[in-house]
Amino acid sequence: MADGAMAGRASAATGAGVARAAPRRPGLPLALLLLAAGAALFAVNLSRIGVEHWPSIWHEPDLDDLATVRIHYTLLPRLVAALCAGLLLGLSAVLLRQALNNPLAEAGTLGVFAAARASSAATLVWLPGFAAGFFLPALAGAGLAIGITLLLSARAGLAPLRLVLNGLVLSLCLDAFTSLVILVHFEEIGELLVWQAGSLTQDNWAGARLLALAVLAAGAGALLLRRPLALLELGDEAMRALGLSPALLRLAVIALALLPAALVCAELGILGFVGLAGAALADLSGARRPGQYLLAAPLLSAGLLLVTDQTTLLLSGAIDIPAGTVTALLGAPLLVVLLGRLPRATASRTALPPTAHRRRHGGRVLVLAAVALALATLLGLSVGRLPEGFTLATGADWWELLPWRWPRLAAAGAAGGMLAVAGCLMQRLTGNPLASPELTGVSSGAALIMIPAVLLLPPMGRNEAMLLAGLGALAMMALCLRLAGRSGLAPERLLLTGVAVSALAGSVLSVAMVFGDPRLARLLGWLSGSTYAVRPADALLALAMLALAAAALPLLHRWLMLLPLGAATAGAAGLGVGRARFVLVVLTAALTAGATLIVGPVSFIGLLAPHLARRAGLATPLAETLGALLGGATLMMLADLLARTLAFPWDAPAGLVVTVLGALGYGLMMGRR
Amino acid sequence: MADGAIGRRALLAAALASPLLLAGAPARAGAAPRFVSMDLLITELMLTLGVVPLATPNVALYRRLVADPVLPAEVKDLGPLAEPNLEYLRTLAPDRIVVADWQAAGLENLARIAPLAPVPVLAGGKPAVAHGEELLRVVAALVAAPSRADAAIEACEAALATGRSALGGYPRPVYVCRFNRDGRNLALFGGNGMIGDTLARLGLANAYAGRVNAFGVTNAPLMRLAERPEAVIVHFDRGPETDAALARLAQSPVWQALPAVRAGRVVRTPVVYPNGGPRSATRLALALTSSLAPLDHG
Repeated sequence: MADGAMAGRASAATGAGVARAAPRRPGLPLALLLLAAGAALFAVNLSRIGVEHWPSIWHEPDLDDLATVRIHYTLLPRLVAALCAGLLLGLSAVLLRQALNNPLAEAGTLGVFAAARASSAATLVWLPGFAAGFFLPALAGAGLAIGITLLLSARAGLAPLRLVLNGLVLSLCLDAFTSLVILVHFEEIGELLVWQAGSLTQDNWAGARLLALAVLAAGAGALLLRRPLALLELGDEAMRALGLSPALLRLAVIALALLPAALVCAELGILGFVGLAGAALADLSGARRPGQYLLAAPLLSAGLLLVTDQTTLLLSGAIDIPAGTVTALLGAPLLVVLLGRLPRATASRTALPPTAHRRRHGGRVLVLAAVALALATLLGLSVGRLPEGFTLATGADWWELLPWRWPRLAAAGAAGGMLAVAGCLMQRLTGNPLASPELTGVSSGAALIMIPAVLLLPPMGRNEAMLLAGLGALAMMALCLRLAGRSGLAPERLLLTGVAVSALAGSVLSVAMVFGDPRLARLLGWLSGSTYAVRPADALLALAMLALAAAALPLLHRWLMLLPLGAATAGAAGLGVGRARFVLVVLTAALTAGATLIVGPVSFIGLLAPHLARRAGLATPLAETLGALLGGATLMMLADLLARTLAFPWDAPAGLVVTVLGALGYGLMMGRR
Repeated sequence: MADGAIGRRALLAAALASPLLLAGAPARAGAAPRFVSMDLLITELMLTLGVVPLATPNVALYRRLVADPVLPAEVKDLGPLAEPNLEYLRTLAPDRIVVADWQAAGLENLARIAPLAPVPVLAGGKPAVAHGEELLRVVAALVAAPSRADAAIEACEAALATGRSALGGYPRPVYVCRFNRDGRNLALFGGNGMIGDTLARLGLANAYAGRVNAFGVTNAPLMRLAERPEAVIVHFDRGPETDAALARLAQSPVWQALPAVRAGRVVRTPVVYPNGGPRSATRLALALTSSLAPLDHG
């Protein structure tokens, strides 16, 4: 693939050298090369069944002869399925890229894959006898996700950034849900792991025929939309001036992009990054106009998928690796390359809302928050559930239950507080109200480093794990800030980096799970954020970290005041910007890592708590952070109580409950903005 | 609920009165000790020994994957296998909690409710049938029913010996698998796992000789079944899931063209827990013997 990219770049370069900019058909030579390589591999696979059966391709198959049947009903439909799936995914990515003006856009970015996976998992566990396999559940889930993402973004006129952001939040929620289902039902979920790995194995023509029809339909649709697509690049104003509704056009393009991708996903499983790679290669080959993209990207995707799949088929005697697993692994380096090529930030920098003049009753708000925290603590320590119903512990009973309840409650509260503080620090650091540890890939960094660590290193205790996760979070945060820093930490840039890193972590995790290692069940436990196994020492450690961070806040006050004003202003005010940033980055990473190991990577507390604090009228950095800390701790403790009692005797991870609550809060927040 | 609270308070008072009573068991002197099982295999072993656990996690999963011996209705459900409900377990006041050794690290908290008894469930490289018999003896010693272990082990060995002589020199290799509902992929059993090992003890050749994971199973595409055209295909019946798979397979030309399918050498057999103990091995041996022996020997 690297060679292909190089070739594409070279051809683009020579094309640019010749008087008239880009080549006439950019990307096509490379696509033909890939398709030829795929055809050669196919010939090798065909000959492995038996050279003497070659001619039988052209005849009606003899149903009694296994070799002929294999050629006709596995090899040929697999070839067609790979080509069609590649074409559809490439087309989908290119349409989304146009509609969202974002080179990282593909169906996965808008939550389609995560939703298909989640609904398949739910079907497997709760409707085990459902006869139709994963096709219908996956299709229904993907459809629902498309609907939700579009609906959430409707108020913003389907603005590209809003769509990507909503898709990301939806993906994170659904992936958290799927992880939970896999964690709780690890013994019965094997079929899901096989499906989500994305295998192109075929045993009849039904799937290939369906995909071929979809190619025809989607191709016709793309042909119709070819001209309006070019208008999307002119911007919303220009489109309105021409009498077009940008939202309507975008809706049509997105629907045309997502439906085929959902179909491929339902039929074959998750084939991540295939579309993204095709679009990126088209880009690198010098495609610039929508018409060029529409032709080159699908062909490139089809070639890539064909080569990948035929290679896995060639190796299948030794080891069965589904094609989706390979594309996910190849997609990782591609994302890093693409991150460096993200478009320069636009002028739509949304600064923190100026709240100084709205300062009111800061003290009273903080007291109220503290009272709420105390109430949540009391509830968490007293309320329980048994088969007979809810119970309220009092007297001796209360004291007897205390050693069972306080560690997990304290850990949950501390984690909530830590995430809230980390969120405040990040938002101040970047001057970006949507920055939070969850949405910027920091937690994914912790997850990414834990996967190989769990598989390759000897078993770790919680403290070693926390340290390692902290290093992962720190590395990822440094990377994100560096990549986003080139454009002055613009909100879009930071969030897109987060999208990429989260997608990467998700695909690596699903690849690791194909191998069905039971140790991964424990990793999933960590990643879903379970307070179950928290020991008193862990809880005390988490509380100590939070206390240290809170104690350091007054020292950071001036930095937090000045940094949101931008590096130049802050520097002019006498601030050592580099040093201040470094200290805050390390602090945020440490807090995030600590919290991630207790409540899992996706909680939205880091996003919501600072927002709530600002809405409550807390304006100075110190008051805002303290208020967020109290609010975050309260929310997380209530989530833990719900997790402990809702599904009795099933004990849901608190991280999941808070993910669901957080997602609802996010939905409300987006609705209001 | 009120009863439970009073019981706990009485127990607490007793415990305060005499620290020696903290273990709990003497408070019900004379009654049979109450065990909790934290693992599917351990539950199977206990029930094989005629000991009904007080409670176990994920009752539904046991009924679906293990099924036999039957889990009585009065057994309490503790929720997830990985995170059993502690506060509920505490009110049940068991005398002993039997856990799989690999679980023990995550369940240290349980030791505050009752003493933990870790059992080495994973066989590692050992042949699984012999390992299961050894485990049964370990659990029998724990629940003080050693003689019943001997009976179950004898039954298992007898079923294996009868099967071996009935199948004597069975000429065809055997695939043992479970179809995924998509009809394209399947789980193949082999290696030293309980199912692979039972095949070996019956003198049967496993048609699948490839790699398997720690539980003796691997995921594979349907075409794997074409590698040994002369083989018999034995597949596990999981009810509606298997019906769905077979309905899809019926439309698959590849499935129809497999020599085993064309010659009717496909056997649907009651589901057996692949990580099971002597009781599961006995059931598998009996099922294989009764379904394979009538098939042609040629």
